Amino acid sequence: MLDLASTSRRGFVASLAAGVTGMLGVPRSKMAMEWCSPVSRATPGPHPDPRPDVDASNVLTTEQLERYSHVIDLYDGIRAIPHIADGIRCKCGCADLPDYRSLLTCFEGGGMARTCQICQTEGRVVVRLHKAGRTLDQIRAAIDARFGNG
Amino acid sequence: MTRRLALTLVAFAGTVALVPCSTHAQIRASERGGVSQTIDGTTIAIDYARPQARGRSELYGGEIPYGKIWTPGANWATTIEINKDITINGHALPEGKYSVWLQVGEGDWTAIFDPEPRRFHLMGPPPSDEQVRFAVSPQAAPHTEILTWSFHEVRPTGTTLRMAWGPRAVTFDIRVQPSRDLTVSADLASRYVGSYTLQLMGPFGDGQVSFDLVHENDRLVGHWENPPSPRLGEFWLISLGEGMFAAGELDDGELFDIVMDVIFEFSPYEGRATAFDLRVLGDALWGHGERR
Repeated sequence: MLDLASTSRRGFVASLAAGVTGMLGVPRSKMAMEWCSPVSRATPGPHPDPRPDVDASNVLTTEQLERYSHVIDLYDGIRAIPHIADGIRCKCGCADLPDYRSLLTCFEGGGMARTCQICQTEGRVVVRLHKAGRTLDQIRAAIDARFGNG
Repeated sequence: MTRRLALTLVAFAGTVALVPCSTHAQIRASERGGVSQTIDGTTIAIDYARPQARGRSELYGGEIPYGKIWTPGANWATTIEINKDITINGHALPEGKYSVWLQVGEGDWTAIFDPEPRRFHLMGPPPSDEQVRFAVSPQAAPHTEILTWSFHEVRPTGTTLRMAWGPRAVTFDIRVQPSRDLTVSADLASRYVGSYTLQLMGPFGDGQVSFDLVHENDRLVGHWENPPSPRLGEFWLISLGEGMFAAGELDDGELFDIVMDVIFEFSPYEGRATAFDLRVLGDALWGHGERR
C-alpha cells in the first residue's frame, strides 16, 4: 500500500506500473518486458464493422490459457461478446499485422492478449462497459478517448 | 568453361575486397552533428555541420562578411525539419524540411528558412516568396568554440532554439500546436463540479478522502485531499472524451504532464455526474468517488 502522504511524484508513477503488476499477479520481470504505454501505437484507422455471423469459437479456452491464469476471466468475458469485440480496433499496434481483423483477433489463436497490456486493458474496458449497458458506438468512443484515435 | 567463370568471379571479388573504402571514414574540419526535440507530438530536428572557431578572432564581419547569406553550420546547409506546423519568433513555419540561413550585420541579422533543404553553403538561396524571413537580434555570449545548436529551454507549449558560435548567439522562440484542448466549457464543467467522497482501494490505500472539482479560468480543477502524488493536490482534469478525463499535473500553475495512466471515468454516461471511478492500466479500479 502507498504511503499517500509521503509518496514522491516519481514513486507515484512507478507505483502505477508496480501496482498493476501486483494486482494482475504477474512476475515483475515478465511484466517489464511486456509493459506498454497506454497511448496508442497503432496506425490510425477506423473501428471495424462486426461480422454478422461472428462467433467466439476461436477464442482461447481456459485449458489453452494454463500459463496465463490471470487473464482467464477476461477471455471468458470476451467469449461472451464476440459481436462487440469484433467491432473494436485494437490500439496496441497489432492492427497493422496481416491477419488482424478486430480486438477479437487478439483473443484468438496466437493473438497478443495473453501478454499485451493494451489488448488486455481494452478488452476489460469493453467487457465492463458492455455489462453497464453501453452501445457499441459508446464503447468505441470510450476506447478512442482512453487510448487515442489510432 | 564453368570452372573458368568461377575462377574469374573469385578473382574479381578478391580485388573488390582489397580496394579501400574512402567514403565511409573521413576526417572533416566541420563534422556533422544534430539535435532534436519533441514537444507535445511536434518534433523539431536540426542537422548541421559543426565548424570550430580555431582561433579566428573575427568571425562576424570577418570570416562571415556583413551582408553575406551564411548557413549557421558548414558544407551542406544546416536544416530544420518539423513534422507539424509551428511558429518561430511569431512567424508561421509549415511542416517540412528547410535549409537555414542567416544574413549577419552590425545590428540585427536576418533569419531565412528556405524550402529547398539541400543546398551547399556557398550557394545561399535567392530571395523567394516561399521563404520565411524575419529579423533576429544576436546577443553577446561567452565564447563557443564549436558551432552549437541547442534547445535551450523546453516548455509544454514550445521551446527556445539557440545557435551559438564564437562571441554571439541567436535564439528562436518556437511554439507548437497543442495536441489537446485543455479548456473545459462552463456548460460541460457543470456536470462534474462539486464535492465527492473518494474511497481509495488497491495500491492507493483503503481510506476515504475528500475530492473537490471546481471550474476556474476555463479549466476543470481537481483538489485531492492527501493525494498519491504531491502534484495531484491541485491538478487539471483533461477531457479525453465523454465523461472521461486524465490528470494534468501542474508546476506553478502551468501544465507540465498529462498522466494517461490514471483515468477519471464519470457516471452516469449522460447528465450530471453522481460518481466516478479511478482506473489505471489493466482497467484496475483504484478508487471510487460518490458525490456528497
